[in-house]
Amino acid sequence: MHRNRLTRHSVLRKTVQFASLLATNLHLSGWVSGSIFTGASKVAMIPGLHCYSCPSSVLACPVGSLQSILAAPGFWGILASGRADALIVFAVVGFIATVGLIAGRFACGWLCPFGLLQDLLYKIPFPRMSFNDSLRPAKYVMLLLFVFGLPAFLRPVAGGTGDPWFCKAVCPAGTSLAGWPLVSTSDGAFQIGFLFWWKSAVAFVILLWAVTVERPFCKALCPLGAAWGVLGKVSVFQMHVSDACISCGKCGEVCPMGIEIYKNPGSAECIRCGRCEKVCPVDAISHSIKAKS
Amino acid sequence: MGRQWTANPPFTSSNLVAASIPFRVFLLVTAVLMLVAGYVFGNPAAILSKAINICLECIGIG
Repeated sequence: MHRNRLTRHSVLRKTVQFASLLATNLHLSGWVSGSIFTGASKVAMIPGLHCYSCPSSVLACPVGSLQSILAAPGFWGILASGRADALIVFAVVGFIATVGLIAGRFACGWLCPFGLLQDLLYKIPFPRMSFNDSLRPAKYVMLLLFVFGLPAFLRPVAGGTGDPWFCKAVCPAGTSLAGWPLVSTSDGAFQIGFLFWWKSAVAFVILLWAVTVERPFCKALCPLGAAWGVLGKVSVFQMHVSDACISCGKCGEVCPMGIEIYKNPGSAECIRCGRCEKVCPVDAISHSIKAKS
Repeated sequence: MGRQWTANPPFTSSNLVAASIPFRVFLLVTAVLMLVAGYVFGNPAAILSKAINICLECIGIG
């Protein structure tokens, strides 16, 4: 019975994930023309990691937007003077905070296009590898250093523009969903060099990793997941484990993030996918606004 | 007297979460206000200008 429940839940989640993917990628002709969408909807952000240079994307990436604003020349000065160009940073931070404070990493499990890509890659029959849990804190380094610190404070030329370091050095979504398709359809318009090959290697390794380990990027590297995980500690919706729990460990067996929620219902790693709820033999796991006794 | 350990986990989140509901709602409302204020008082073109031009750093060119 619980296996059927899990199957139905998986179908529902995949449906929502694909609907989210479609809703954020309505400019499908971009894949043929090799151009990106330039409409006004790109002022709104995607609740997930998805490059705004992806040919079909009609929304903006919150991580990329945050970095580009922080990297603006004299960002801290114009923020202090209250100029509109810098105040928009509150919209981006507010968006990330709002999503995280509603339900933590819910968006990772249900809405994020790159999360879906990893889910699909993990369906490829391939020898599985174990995940080294000591890599999990790396995503906080990504958030604090590559998304905030370096773009906000590192300037190659004093007073000049900074770089979006996470996009530039790491982001596999940018490379795989924007870089590769745009470069392959550009007829040599882009002069590719070291950076492109570096990012391609990083993306290839991460995508290959996702074939052997379930959601490795979410576990180890995603800065959005890091932010939403921390915010999930105080989000409105919370996971609960009641006293009915028999510690059988079935929840841990189906968890894509490899956590045992019965040991820590408020884990920052939980993507709120709900698989544990469906597989629990005593229905001890639930989610709600209010606590359950 | 030592604590009685059972098969049930001794740590449920219920009490902690229940106590902080107003705080959590306050944080969420603050975040929503920040989001709205950012769009109202900020310049959305700062996002748009980056999003409607190919992000060379993102694709590994710039």
